[in-house]
Amino acid sequence: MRPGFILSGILVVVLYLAGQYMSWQEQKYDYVYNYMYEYTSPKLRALLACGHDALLADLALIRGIQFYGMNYPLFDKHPVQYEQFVSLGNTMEQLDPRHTEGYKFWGFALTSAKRGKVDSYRFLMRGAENQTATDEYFHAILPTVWKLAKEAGYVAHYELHSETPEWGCKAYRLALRSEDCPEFINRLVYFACKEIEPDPMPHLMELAHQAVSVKNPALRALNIEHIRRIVAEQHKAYWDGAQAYYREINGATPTRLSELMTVPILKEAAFRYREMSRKWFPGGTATRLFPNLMNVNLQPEEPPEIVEAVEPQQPIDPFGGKYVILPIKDYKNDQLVTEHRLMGTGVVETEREALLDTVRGDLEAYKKDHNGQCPPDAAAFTADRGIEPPKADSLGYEVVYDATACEFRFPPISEDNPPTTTPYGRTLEQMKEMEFKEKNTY
Amino acid sequence: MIEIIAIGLNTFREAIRNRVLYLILLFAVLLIGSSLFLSTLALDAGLRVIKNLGLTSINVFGLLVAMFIGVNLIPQEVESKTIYTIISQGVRRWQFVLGKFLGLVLTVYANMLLMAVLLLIILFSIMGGFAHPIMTLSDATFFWIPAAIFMQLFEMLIIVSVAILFSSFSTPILSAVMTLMVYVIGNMTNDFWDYIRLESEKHGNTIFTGFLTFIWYLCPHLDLLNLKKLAVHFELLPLDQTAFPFAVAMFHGFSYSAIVLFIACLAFSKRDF
Amino acid sequence: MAVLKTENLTKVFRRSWRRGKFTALDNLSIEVHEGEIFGFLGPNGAGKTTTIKILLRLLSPTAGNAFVLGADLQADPTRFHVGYMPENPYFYRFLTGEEFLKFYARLNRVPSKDRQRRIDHLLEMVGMTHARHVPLKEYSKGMTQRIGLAQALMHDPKLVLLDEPMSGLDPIGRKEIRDLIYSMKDQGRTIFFCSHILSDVQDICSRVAILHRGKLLKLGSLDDLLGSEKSKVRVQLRVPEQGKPADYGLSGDFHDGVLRTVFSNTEETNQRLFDLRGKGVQILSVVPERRSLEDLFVETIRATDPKFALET
Repeated sequence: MRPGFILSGILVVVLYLAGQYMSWQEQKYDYVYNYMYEYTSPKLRALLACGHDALLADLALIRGIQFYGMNYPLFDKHPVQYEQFVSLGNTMEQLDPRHTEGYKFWGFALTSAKRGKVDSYRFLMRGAENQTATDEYFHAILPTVWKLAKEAGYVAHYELHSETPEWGCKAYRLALRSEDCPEFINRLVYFACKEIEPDPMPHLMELAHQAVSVKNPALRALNIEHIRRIVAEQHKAYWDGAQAYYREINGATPTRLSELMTVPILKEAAFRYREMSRKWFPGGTATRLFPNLMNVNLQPEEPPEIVEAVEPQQPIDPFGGKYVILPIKDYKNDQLVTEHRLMGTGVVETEREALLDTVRGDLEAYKKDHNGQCPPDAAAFTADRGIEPPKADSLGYEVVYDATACEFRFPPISEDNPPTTTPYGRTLEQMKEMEFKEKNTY
Repeated sequence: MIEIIAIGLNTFREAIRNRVLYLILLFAVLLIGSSLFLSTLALDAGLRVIKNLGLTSINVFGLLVAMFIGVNLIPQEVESKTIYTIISQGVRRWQFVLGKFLGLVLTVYANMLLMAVLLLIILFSIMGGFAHPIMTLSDATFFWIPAAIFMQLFEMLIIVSVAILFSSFSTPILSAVMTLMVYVIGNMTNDFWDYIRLESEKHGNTIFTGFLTFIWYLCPHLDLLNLKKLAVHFELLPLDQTAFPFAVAMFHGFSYSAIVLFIACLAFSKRDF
Repeated sequence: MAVLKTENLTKVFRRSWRRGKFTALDNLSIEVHEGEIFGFLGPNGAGKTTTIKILLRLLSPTAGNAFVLGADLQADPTRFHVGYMPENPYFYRFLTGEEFLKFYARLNRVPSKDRQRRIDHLLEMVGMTHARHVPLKEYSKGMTQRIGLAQALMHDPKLVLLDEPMSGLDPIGRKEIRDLIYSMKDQGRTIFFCSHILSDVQDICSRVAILHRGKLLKLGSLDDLLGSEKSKVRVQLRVPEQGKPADYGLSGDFHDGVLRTVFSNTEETNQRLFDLRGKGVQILSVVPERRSLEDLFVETIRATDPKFALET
């Protein structure tokens, strides 16, 4: 036994033990796959796949497609064929629990059997839930999750005719959790959940938010239309209440709208509407959803705040008006505000403020130390505080020290004193070109 | 070191002139190519099929090359008596084993690389290239597929060293079977652990579960190196959570093959011809 | 100086439990001197290859020890330089002759600038320059043997072990190999020659060892082993016309005036021929009837092994 041999032996044993130990720990406790595909028990087929389960899931899908093509007319006549088809789907699910296309296919194919519609819904929902399994661990849901959930919602609505209203509602709610979920699901949710959650208010808020924040004018119009539809529904509920009361007291249906426009009837209708909305909330509080509907003749209690319109001040364009002004969204006092700024100055103003902020405190400190006297020049300030004042902003204007006002400042931006750097903004032509590219990319 | 490299290169040169290799490669190319036709059968899962079939082909044919060429390497040298001449010229036995390992690794890697390039070309041509200069979701394919292949390289490191270990003291057929067994068990470790846990929950810790646990601790954990499914789902996993498991997996591949090779050297140097 | 020395080398193979143990080598002690061609003889299964494998460290001996070029096989794991050509070699099929030699040159750390020269030299020496780009699988048996020899000489070894270098070769091939062995000897190498083809050994070897069933039966120089017996001399004479052999005191096979007879030893032959020439007898041929190695081999084995004695 030579020392080299023993040393290398010890080295590889240590390496081996370290590697094994770490991998045991990974697989036992922390490893991601354990959670991603959490099997309640080891499933034989997935086990025998030897790590190639994704491919076998694909082959199961291809087999399923062929099987469906040959056997779908028999699904209702021969239960065995149907059972086989479902079993094949389960195999696919066990092999790859996140096979989006597979779930979609089985979800579609199972509905061609009479008894397969419930199965189809359950299968799709299982798929969607399997795909959200990463949620806790990665804080991200598979972007394709909405596809399966949406399909499940369709099945619940069109194939099962909303027999169980909770199903469709649950499916669309699940779809909405996915980041890539298209916007129209938002509107579907309202219809699917109307029966179990009649309160339109949260939904109206959601739609209003969408209408405000969406860029696409067509989508915005859609959202506003939808809001109108929901509001009209509520109007109808209100007038239905008025009609019912009219019938109760007069024993006949009203023939004209003016017949309903009496104070007692409207009051009763408002009361009925409030009573109806009382059941929406657990506390039994009635909503004041449409105050102007219910109190038609009432004056507003407080006069509205009247603000004189001021023409917005445009920032100076140092580049000679060639560059467009861009709308910029910003949070001010926790509210989203859209401001129009020229990229060349608007951003630079903010940047200048930030730059000058860094030395303001030190200037104060200097004054305190020197009995309220300002530093005679920038060099004296630097020598005393050990801090260099900012040199220049990103447009290239250099900072100037004003000893009388006791502050650093940047020279004003104007067309007479144009910046030395290239502009931030874009010309109109550039903008158009960019938008054209964006449209063609997606 | 010179000896190891010389033997490795010689093994590689010998292997790439072997017809078996070309036969295996031909089948692999056919399989990857056939994924194009198979993908049309799978409706909208076509791209998935190509990726899965490609990754599986790379893995399985890498295994086949390691098995069919690897298990024969040392017995063939003994049979043709070249090992006598090599050892008579002062090459140590462990150098011989490491050289053979190197040669086989080169052969397997060259094969896998060829198949990987083919797969990427097919994917590239189907997906129409990169949609964006910046990586978007659809381009994650070109990150995760190579990443899965990269991890397979470490898996093959283990397989090749196991093939060399068995062929250093056993007959080719037995070695091939044992290598296959190690591959299968290694790819099951994840479910295997669940099974052991379930079994011991049901019946308590018995001799049977103890034995299974022992096997589990002993075998390579190829499951850790299996990114195939992940690559196909191409989730953008945050690197801070995945980097450590991946690093552990790579380290595991490295350390496991090191100890297997050490045992192979030991077994081979004690062996009588 | 002993280039190769074995001391009570013993190898026992453990076979299956039913068939028990098998002693392949039994207390073998031989010594090979520098610069000689040493013949290592024995029938199939005598333990020749086992000995060579032990010398090459392919097998570990059960007992005893061996020294190769001064290195202790058991204790000293350093590199040693022995050229070895195996019996019936079957080299890398897919390499060409030149690539094959290049591989061995790399193994022996021949510097890359000398490599090509060395390969060219070896190829020329074994006469294989014409087949340097031919794959080994297309080589004939003689070509394979010759490329094997070139491989064995790659690192310029002091000691060359040849295991049955001439088996399965045609007469021309044998002659070529024999010439190569002679040239190797001229270069100052010691050659350990292992064979069961006795005529080859008799021609080239200076010392031989005879091995049977793992036991060393005879060891010594060829002259010692063969010359130790008294050798007869076969003579052909032409007797003058009308003469009879009896007139000259001769007896034997007489036909057409030519007499074939045998003298019992060298002194007698000299004396008698001197007399006969004086009497006008023409001497046609004088052939010393030396015992062949084959006779010695068969006799020795028969003497020690009753099984062989019974068979004939």
